[in-house]
Amino acid sequence: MRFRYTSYEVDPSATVPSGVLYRPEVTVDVIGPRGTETIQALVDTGSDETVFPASLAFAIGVHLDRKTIGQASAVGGHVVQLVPGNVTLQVAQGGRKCRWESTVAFLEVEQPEDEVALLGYAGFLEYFRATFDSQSHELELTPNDRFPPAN
Amino acid sequence: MATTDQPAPLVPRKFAGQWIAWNRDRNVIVASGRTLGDARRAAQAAGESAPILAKAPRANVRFLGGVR
Repeated sequence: MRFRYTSYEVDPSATVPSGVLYRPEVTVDVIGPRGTETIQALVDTGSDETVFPASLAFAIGVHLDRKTIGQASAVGGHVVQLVPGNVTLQVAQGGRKCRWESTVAFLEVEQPEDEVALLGYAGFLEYFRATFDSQSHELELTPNDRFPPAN
Repeated sequence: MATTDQPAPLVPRKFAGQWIAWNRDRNVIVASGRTLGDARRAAQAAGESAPILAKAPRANVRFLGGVR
C-alpha cells in the first residue's frame, strides 16, 4: 500500500525555506465499541507508541484502563500521561485492506493544541515494512510476518 | 505494482495548528476546529457525516517527534 505524503503550508524558515512541510501520513480507521473515527495520522518512526487523543477514545466508546497509566516524554523531556485502550485499526488503499486488534495509547493533555495522532512502533509500525521515499513523497507499507492473523 | 492514493491538496497556512476535517475523497477541507471533537462537529454541521480528521502542524513551531 502506497500513501502520498500530505503537504502543509507553514511559515518559511532557514530549514524549510519553501514554507511547505511534507508529512508521511496514513488514513486509519480507529474502531471502538460505539463507533469508528477516521484519522489521518503521522507515521512516526521516532515514537515508541501509537497515540491518539483521549477525546477520540470517548467518542468511539473505548474503555481506558487507568490502572496502567504510563508516562512518556517527547523531545525536550516534557512528560505526558498515556492511558492504554484496546481498538481495532484498519488501513485501506488500492483495494487492499489491513485490519487488526491493537492496544494503543490515548494521550490526555491540558491544552487542546497538544493533541496528536501518531502511528508509532507499538501497535502499528511493528506490523509493517515501511519505505519512506522523500523524492516522490510516498510511503509504502507492506505487512510483515508479525502482522496479526485474522480472527 | 502497488497503486498510490490520490495526493491531497496543499493544506493552507490558515489551518496551521488546528484539526482539519477532510471529505471522504480527501480533496476538500470541509471544516476545522481547535480540538478533534470541534472539527468533527463542524464537519457534521457542514454535511460531512464521516470526515477524515487530521492535525495540521503549527506554522511557526516545528514538531520534533513523538512520545517515547
